[in-house]
Amino acid sequence: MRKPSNVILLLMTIFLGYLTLFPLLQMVKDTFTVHVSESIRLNKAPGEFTLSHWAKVLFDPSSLSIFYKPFLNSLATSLGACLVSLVFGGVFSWLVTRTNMRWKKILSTLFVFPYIMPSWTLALAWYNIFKNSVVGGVPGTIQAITGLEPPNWLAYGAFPIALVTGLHYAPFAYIMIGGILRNMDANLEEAAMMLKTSRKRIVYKITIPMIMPAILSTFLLVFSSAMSSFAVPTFLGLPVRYQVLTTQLYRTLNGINQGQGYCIAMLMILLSVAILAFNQRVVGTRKNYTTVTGKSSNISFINLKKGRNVISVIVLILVLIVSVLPLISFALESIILLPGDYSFDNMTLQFWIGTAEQNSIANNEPGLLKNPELWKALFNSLKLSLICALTAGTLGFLAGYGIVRGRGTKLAKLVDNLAFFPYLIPSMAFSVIYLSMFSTRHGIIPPLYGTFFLLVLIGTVKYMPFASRSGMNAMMQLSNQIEEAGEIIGVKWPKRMSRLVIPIQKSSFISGYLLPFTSCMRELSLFVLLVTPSNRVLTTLLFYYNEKGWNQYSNGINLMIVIIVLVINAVVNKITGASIDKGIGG
Amino acid sequence: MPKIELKNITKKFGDFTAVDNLSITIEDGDFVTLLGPSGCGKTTTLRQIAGLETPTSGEIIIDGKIVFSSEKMIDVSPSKRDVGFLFQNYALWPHMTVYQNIAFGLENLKWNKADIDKRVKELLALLKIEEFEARYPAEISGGQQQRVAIARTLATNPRVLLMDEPLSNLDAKLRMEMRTELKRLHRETGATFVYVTHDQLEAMTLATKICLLNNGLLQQYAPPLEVYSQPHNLFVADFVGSPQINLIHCSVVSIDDSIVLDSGIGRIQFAPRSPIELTKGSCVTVGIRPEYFTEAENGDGIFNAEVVSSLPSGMETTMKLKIGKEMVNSVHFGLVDYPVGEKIEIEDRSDKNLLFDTDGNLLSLGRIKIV
Amino acid sequence: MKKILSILLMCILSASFVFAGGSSETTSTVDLTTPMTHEELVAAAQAEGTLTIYTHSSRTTTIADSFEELYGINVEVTQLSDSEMIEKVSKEAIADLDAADVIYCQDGSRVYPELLMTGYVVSYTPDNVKGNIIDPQYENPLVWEVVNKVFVYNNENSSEQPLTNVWQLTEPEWAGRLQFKDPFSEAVNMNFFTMVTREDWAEKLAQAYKDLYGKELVLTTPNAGYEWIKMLYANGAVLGKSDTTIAENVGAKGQSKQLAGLFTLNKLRTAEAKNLALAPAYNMEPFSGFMYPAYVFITKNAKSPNAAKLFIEYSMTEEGWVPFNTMGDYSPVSYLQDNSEDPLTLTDWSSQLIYEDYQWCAQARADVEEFITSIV
Repeated sequence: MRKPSNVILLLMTIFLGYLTLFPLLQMVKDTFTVHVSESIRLNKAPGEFTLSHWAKVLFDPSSLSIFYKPFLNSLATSLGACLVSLVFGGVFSWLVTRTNMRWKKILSTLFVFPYIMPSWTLALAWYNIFKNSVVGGVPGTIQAITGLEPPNWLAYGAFPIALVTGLHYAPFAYIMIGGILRNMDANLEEAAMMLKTSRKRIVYKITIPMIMPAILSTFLLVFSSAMSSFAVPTFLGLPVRYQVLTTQLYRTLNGINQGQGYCIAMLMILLSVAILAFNQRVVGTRKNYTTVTGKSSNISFINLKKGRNVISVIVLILVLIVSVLPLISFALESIILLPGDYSFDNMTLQFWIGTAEQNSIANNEPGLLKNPELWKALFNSLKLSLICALTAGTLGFLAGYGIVRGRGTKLAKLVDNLAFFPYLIPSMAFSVIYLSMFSTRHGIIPPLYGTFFLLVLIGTVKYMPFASRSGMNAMMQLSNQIEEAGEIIGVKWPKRMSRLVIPIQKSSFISGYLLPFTSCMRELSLFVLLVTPSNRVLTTLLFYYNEKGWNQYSNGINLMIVIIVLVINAVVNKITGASIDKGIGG
Repeated sequence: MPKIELKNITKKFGDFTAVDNLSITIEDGDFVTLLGPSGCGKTTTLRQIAGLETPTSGEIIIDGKIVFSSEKMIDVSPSKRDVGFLFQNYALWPHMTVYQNIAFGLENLKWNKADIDKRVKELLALLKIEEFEARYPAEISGGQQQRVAIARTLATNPRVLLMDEPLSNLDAKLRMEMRTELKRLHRETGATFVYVTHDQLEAMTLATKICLLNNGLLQQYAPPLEVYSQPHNLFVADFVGSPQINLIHCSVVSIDDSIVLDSGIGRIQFAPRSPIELTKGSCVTVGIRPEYFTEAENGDGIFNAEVVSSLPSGMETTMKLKIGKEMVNSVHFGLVDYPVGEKIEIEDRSDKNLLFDTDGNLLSLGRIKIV
Repeated sequence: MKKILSILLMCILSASFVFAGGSSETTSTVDLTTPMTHEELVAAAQAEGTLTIYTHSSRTTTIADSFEELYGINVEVTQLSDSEMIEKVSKEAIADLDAADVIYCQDGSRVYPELLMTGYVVSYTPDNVKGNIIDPQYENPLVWEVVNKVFVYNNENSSEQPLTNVWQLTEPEWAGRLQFKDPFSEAVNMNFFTMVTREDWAEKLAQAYKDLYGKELVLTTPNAGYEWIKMLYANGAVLGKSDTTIAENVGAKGQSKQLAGLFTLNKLRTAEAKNLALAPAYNMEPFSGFMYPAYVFITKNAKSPNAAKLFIEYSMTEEGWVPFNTMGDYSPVSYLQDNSEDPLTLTDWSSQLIYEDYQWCAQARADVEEFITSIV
């Protein structure tokens, strides 16, 4: 108890236990009780005990379409997404760290863009490009240019969902694998080369086993993210009615079978936990990787020779397609009057600066920049993201500090898992639980529903995994002796933190704030149920416009969100050297 | 048999020239050390021989075969150069056991399992690491890791063994031990060794030939004792030898009958072994190894010195002396010690004192005495 | 240490469970019985000063603007989706928060059991409306407006209406050519499918089948309604995300195949401006689509009950109704029957469309939801 790290761990256990374990228990309870909307059908009073939800989800003839089919689809698209992001991100990180590919600096910067953008960005672009006559309307770009109609499997369903999700999370792979490759001693590969190992065998026997921990972490992150991704399957699955667990979750939570929804959410969490456990098991063996890696003094780049230009151009094009094209398409879509007509005559700024009277085509919604709703939402988004970033970042850093300092103890392990757990809970289920949890008084905690504080609370808990990871990374790199040196000459803990630990790990520390900020700015499903009139944020406004089909407005807001986040990231990076990638993997 | 020739090798990293027009020939069976201060281009040179680094221009020939030529556009990959490489930090693969590390290269050569096993056992025995066979690198000590790295490199019987400061991470005692080991291996394997170090003592004791580099430029390529006694220039003289050589700046007073120089230790006369040309009034440097100063026996050419510090080690005593206005190093062999402040008389009877010209290049060896 | 910890955890958890169910029952703040003159109401409303509205339609804002101008009462309007509305209003009622005063909402099948039956909201019929409702089915709870969703086809290349019977949509010729919003994200669409399974509509569907093909429909499902849904889905119906997008997809000119959609007629208003070729399919057998009510309620704990009453009253005057006097929106009030954009009146439409019955929907929708889940 003398050590501040133990106090932190204890407080964290209470804080996180209440805010993550309790919702979980609540959710378990919800899978066994009758909800208001179900009471008529089940002929039971709301709140009564029932096994019917689990029976319907798992042991009924209709379970096949309620759970098993969407489950298999989720599994397929998530695994597919993992494969895509590992291959795309992995090959890219290898090219950047190990070869003499051109334009590395700009490519690396662009490569992380998709992570900063909302996840539906690429799905929207894919839809615009590949859509075929199944949905009708203005033809997709491919069909418009070539006259060929993309087949259904290419335009909608499993293939594009896996691909688009994979591309969206490829930055994870790049940041994690690239991080290890950059820090991994190139001599390890050179040593194999000197022993007459073929290139293929080096990759297969040396490089891949070495980056295995990163591959597994990426796998875990991408898999959980893909599992809980909602927007992409909605965009690309609906035309061919391809259902995954999240769309099924949305259907049931939004419909009148909420109990089934909670069952599905529980099963999703269980699956993610299983993967997490598997991951920890594999990484935690005696093949201790970290002790042997260190900065390599002399990495020699593999000469791509004749392939250099070709490869560089291909990579550049791919990265531009994934990272820049969507932005251009948003800008374009926000200024065209009639959909599908990109001629100059059809362009207008009325959706940005027009008055309500000018915009009769969109139900008299004033142009974005003249719309007080937008300014209010922008202000709210920024306020919420900043506060969430501050709380999640600080708490996450403290948790990271406690976990690393208390390494080896059960308590540290518990906090580690508790802090990561919210990552595995699908946002939608999380917010539903918070909604019901905080709409009534809980002991000393007054009903929080409708307050801004509740948004902050859920944002903080949901984004703490990022911050605690980056906090742990930062603390791992910092020798305990630095703090001990301070302790010996009698420097108190707050001062040790503020004068020693934080300044030394400044950039990691700030990165821990950047991630929650970014995630918060582009979060939708977490907040959509919890916002009240005065608290509306940009993404909920975007969602609203999108639902209404007012594409110019939704594209315009999308562009604004991406640009704001990019600019803030760039400014913070310029001033402090912190960056998103430092936060995730270091 | 392997003979390594480097012809006009230049390596540039952007504007920085790491190796500048280097040409040396390493004969078969040589144990050559590449020596120099950090950043002098010695590791780069080694890696270029191995093929891990591509020279900007020049030619490398191993065993009569051109493995690199900027003109002929030849660049043989490292795996085809038939050389072994020992890395400074060992580069053991952390996900493989000691056994697997050593066997890896043999698997590449498609040896059968039994032969691999035999060879690995042989090496484990040779390097006395049998008991660690099943351990992972993270589970053994630095010295043991080092032996595993050597075993791994030797496993495939390379005819050329390139080593990049392999002993720098070991403690002093272990380092001494490993030096002996390396010399033994060199003799037993008969391979050509090229060895990078920044430790001049290591270079002196191990090598058959030292290649001394500074700022990417070759300073001297000669057997260790020659490098010691006849350094080509001030840099070599200064870099090799411990304690450091005494370099005394002088101006030429007279060149008529004999060469007379004015310096901080007084006016001295330099008698070169062979005739040399000097201009009167020019600045030159005289180099005197610390052990050349001995206690004066007769009255001729005596330097009056004052003891500033004395560090006896039993075998020898290293002293700082003040002669005139200069501080000089001096080594006296045997069990001797002097109280600080004592005035002693010393002389320099060696005929291997060095005279460097204004540009720092060696002019001649010779005798000196005070006048 | 570990012991302390586990005890602490236990305490927190058990405390939370104990307090979890403790919702407080409060009585409504809204007084519907005391008669007030219009002037009294205005005075009382202005004394309250502010009003918060949740609505399903963005156009409520326009009413709010003119209301604000007229009475000087500050109105805050929030748009919510159907299920958000229900979640929020019930949670606010349980927590006794005074978030919304008035709600405009649709989806009777959930509103009825979850908001009205529970007493979280109350229906209020203003004086100006009393006795002026054209059909009793729009009273109690008061229907504020009726919205219709009609089968609409692309008429770029056809002068004749291609659809006269809903069973045509299940023929191979129409495979993959019909679009509608995913009923799981649009409750009123789900209610429509629920309605076709009600015995009377199922019978009409069976009759329409016989009329079209001259033979009896062979059932593989409980009734003709289910059968029609099943065949519609099996025929490759395309699900969309929003009625606006579906209207654009169906109506875009220059398409090789003729598409049709089931969406709100309101989308035809901007068809010309968007260069879309769209025409409604009138008089189809046995229905041309459906229409559903949007309700207006006062929440039980409204902090501005009088302003709420005044607003409801105003929104059902000629002046207040202006933003909704459009194609696709129909007032149940007799003096608001003149639709400036649609030649058909609410009465005309009600003979062609299925009208949503909240009681049937509340009872049967879960079965239909499950049925649709199982066929896709």
